[in-house]
Amino acid sequence: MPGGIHATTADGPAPIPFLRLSGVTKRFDETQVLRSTDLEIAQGEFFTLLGPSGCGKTTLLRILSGFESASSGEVRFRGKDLGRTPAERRPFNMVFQSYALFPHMSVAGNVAYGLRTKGAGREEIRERVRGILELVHLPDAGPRPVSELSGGQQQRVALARALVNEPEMLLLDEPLGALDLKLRKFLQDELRSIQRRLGTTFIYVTHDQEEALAMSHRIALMNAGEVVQVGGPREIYEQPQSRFVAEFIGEANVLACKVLAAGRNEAEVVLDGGGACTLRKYGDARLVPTDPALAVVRPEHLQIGGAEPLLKGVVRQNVFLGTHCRYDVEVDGQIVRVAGSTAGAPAEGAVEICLVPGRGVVVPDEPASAVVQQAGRQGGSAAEDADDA
Amino acid sequence: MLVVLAGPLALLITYAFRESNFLGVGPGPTLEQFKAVFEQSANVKIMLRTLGIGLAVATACTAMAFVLAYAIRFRLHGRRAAIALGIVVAAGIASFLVRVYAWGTILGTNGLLNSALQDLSLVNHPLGFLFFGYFSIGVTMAYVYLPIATLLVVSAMQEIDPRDVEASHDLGAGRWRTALRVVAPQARGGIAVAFAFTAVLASSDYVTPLLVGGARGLMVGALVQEDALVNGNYPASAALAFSFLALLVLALATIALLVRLCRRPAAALARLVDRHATRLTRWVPDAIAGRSLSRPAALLLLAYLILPTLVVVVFSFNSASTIGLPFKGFTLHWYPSITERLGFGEALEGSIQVALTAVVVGVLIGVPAAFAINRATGRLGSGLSALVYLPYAIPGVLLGIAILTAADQLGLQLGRGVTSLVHVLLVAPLVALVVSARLTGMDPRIFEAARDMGASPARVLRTVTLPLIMPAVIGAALIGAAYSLDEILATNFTIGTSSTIPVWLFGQARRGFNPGINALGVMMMAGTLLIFLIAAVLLRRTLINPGREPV
Repeated sequence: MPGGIHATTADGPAPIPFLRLSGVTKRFDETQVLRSTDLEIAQGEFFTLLGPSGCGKTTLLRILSGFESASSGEVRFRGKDLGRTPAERRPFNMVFQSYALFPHMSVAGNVAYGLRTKGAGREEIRERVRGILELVHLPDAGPRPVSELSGGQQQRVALARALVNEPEMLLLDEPLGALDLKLRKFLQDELRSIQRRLGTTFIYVTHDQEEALAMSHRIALMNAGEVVQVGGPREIYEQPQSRFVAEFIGEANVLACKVLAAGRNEAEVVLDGGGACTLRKYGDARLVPTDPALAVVRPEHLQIGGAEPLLKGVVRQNVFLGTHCRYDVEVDGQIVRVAGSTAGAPAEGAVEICLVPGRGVVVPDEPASAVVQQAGRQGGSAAEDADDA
Repeated sequence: MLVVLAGPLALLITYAFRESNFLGVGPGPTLEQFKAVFEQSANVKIMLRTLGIGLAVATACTAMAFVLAYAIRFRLHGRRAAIALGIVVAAGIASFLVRVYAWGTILGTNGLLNSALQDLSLVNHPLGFLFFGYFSIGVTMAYVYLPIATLLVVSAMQEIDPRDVEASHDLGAGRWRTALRVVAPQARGGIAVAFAFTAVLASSDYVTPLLVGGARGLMVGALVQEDALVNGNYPASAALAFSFLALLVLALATIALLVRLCRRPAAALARLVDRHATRLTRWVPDAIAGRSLSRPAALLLLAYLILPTLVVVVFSFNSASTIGLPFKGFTLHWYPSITERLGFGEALEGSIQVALTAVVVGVLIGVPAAFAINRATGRLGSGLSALVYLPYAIPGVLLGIAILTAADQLGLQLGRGVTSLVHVLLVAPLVALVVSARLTGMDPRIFEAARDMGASPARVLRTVTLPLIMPAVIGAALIGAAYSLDEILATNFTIGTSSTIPVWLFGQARRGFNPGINALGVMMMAGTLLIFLIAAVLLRRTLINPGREPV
């Protein structure tokens, strides 16, 4: 369903895109929080802006909502420039991270607010409030004050309050950020199914990569005010174009290597202190033979033992993780993580590590990102607690 | 606001440099007035004494406030902490004048203490030092200003994580060391503010010396008051007031400098004491070391805050016409009797009129000011909020004579009008503070959410902003009303031949004790407390917001 990132130059006049951002930037005084950003979002998409704290994703969302104005560039909705349209005139609604429910109104009062503003009739308001509260599984909450609700319930009210207006686009700013893990997982599924049922375009901001992978049609991964890669969840996970993407999404071993030969979609490299192998290559970066590069290999794409050993090392730790186990293997002073089966006796001592054929990606040499070092490494979800500024 | 406040103060400064003659105020500029202030050794002596009392009261108040605040914040829990805090707040709120008066009835020549001592045959004649002297002034002021000092320190301690205290104990520090080396340094700002605040308030107070100080308890405030109100010599009073203010600022600055200079030696001393204290206290059994001293100390201090007012209440029901033991019998006679005295009706009318004007105008100025403070950022914002505090940082005496001279200069008739203006100066900032605190406490996203759902700015104001701040506005208005109804320090200067209840009561109290004053005092305390209670309930509801809206 969703269209590609780059508008395809098809024959005839190109259809007017649903939402198009071109060259959007934002500066606060001296800080450039958003570098020139181009995005195209199709109607009905669940589109996620993913990135670490301070990457500019919330700013981008607020530019869409109309609460911030872009320093340059333009936002076009169905071909119309939104630059001068104030927030209250935009056909979008927002679910705030803090929910921002009106504390002096009941649940129904909150949900009805937008409809009342539009001047809907009493009967219509009553009907639609009832319907939307059923949709979010709070059919009897209408007369209750919002302060009596739990965090998860408040989140649903915030969602209902936005959805009841039937917005063209729903903007969600880390709506599940304040909830505990279990409830978050549950509401993820629910949000996803509501989106699929209503077909409303969702623009979803999060720093939780698992959440982004689970819910989105497409993800724009952002770092330091820039969109670094856009694609479907699978594409983002399997075809990282840079070290940042590889390390932010899931878990990855990043190994220094040297390019032997490079083609369009793959490259032959030799690992520093290890063997040679052929790795996939994505994106436009050019690799030149004898240049240093980085091999990015997920733990599940490595195995202990096999026909063509790539690296040699010593098992330092074996961590049981339920469905599988993880070996921490020391190779030349660097820890390489290898996923292993829980069946049979665990490997110990000196081992050889092999690459699952056809796996592994090569990306241009680039120093590790501080953000990922802090957050991404420890099981991938430590970043969830960080608050987006 | 700024003009109304700064104008008279500037004018007052110029007055300090002018001559006074029989006709009133002569042309200036001259240093005569300052020369006169410093030429009279009695003036200098009184200024130094006043400074001494102010600093002594501030020291005592701050020390007691620290103990009380520490107990409330870290040693009492749940309901007990709430009750203790409630007592402190109530003591701070209950009429200032009545609380000063309470000590008069206790320490007076024929007061409770002396008559008790005589009855027990411990002394043959009344002990003079108990009344009419610096001792009674000090005790009374420490009592009067303890609540505000405590509240300032408590609010500073609110920022300290109670786990810091637990961590300190966990690392082997005892209660004393924890209080002095973990809590005190973190609450340093609040402690300094409490000290400076009480020093300024105590040394500029003229009501306390006039009520309990007598002939031997002259203080600068009383002199200033006399110069201005009795002698009508504004330049002299202005010069005296500013001379003393300069002295006070100098003293506080010196103290601040000394504290800064002594930080390193003090730290060295603390380390030395620490080392030896550990060795000495090792022999103290666990059961004793584990006992909290601050809790009984806090109980004593709370009793200190409650008992004097109870004395006023009890003796308002005593049928004897003099104050003192033994209790003769129960009567309600004094309550109606005081209201029938000459001038009461006029004073009540004055109080109500001034309070109503002050509250209405104060709200009309204060609410827009709150929005301005809330919206202004950076230097403008901090400047605006500093401006809001200004009327409270200026001693009541100074505000009083400043407005008095300004009214004189402009040819305004003293009375309820000018007094209302002074009260507006005090109420409007209060409204602005409370409402802007409410605005700051609200999630700014709420307003964005309303706009996001299509509400125009005017609609957001009507359907979201105003309903949300309304309880805060009403609460602030009530507090302002209570404040206005009790204000005497500035009112005394500006009310002219008219009167308000506190001014009238002050006059009655100076003329000698009368159980009727107790009765009126009880009514004033009950009135202010009731108003504050309603305000507190309203302000609390704004935090919880159980608002319902049927669809």
